[in-house]
Amino acid sequence: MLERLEWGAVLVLSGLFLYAGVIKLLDTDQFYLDIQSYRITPDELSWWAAHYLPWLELVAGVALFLPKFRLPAALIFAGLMSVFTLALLSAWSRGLDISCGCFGSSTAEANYPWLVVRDLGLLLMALFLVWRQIPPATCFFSRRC
Amino acid sequence: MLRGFIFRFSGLLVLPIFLALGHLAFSGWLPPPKDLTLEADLKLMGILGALWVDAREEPLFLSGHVPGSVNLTRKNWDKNLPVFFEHYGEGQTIIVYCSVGCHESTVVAAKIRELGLENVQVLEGGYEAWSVSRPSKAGELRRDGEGLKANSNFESRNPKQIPNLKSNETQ
Repeated sequence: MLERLEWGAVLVLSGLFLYAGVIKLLDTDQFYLDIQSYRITPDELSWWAAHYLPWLELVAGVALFLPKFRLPAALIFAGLMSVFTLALLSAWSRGLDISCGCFGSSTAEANYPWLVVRDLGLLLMALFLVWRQIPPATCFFSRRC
Repeated sequence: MLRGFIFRFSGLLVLPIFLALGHLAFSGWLPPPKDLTLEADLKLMGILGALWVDAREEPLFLSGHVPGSVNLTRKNWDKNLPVFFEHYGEGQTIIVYCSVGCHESTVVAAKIRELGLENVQVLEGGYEAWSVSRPSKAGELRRDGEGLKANSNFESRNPKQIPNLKSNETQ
């Protein structure tokens, strides 16, 4: 049962991040503007993030299918989802009228409650994968596992 | 085990850097935004003397807007239209903006077009595009463009004509 759930989480997370990565790569200028609209990062950092994050999403999306890379990829997804959720909460608390930029350009205004719930759901999935992959503590410092 | 994990984790973080650099090199390197004086570009686009219309809700307008802009939305249309005409000069370019990704600027621009004013444009990227183009250090902005700065990507977000509005004129 847990194994099926794990595969379900892998398929959902990989699918979403591969799709999001490709969409963002197709229009990095728009993604740069989407990052800027959160008014959190300076121009230059936003520009680098707009070019780096889509590739990170693609690489981690593929790595999630490889058993040896599943733990680091799940940790990266958990980190990304935490950052995205915090950014959304920050924009929501400041009353910013933005499109989330999660899947490329969108003309729809951000529906904050739905976006936060969705991101938290994805974060839980990533944490579930981390929990499933993490070896016993003793294994970390041993070559036997 | 730990060493292997660290190696794989770092690999996943570093590989996208090389891919991004390769992508940039392949698609023609564009430098990150730098503060470049935009006065010449603004003059070229004829927007220095334009009338700016802020199509965002009033609280957002009050929290910050392009200096000299008029707040005009569908909600306050009747109330603020006289203010708009107080500022409008014959033949003046009108640039409408809202937030990045929103639709309101296009709607308001269409309504202005319906009034018979032809030179109406929509600012791509909205207020965010404008705000990232202003000086990063606090300083007074002047309508003549002095002190205005932008990043090198501004050209891709400059005001564009809205050709689909032509249908409004024929109606």
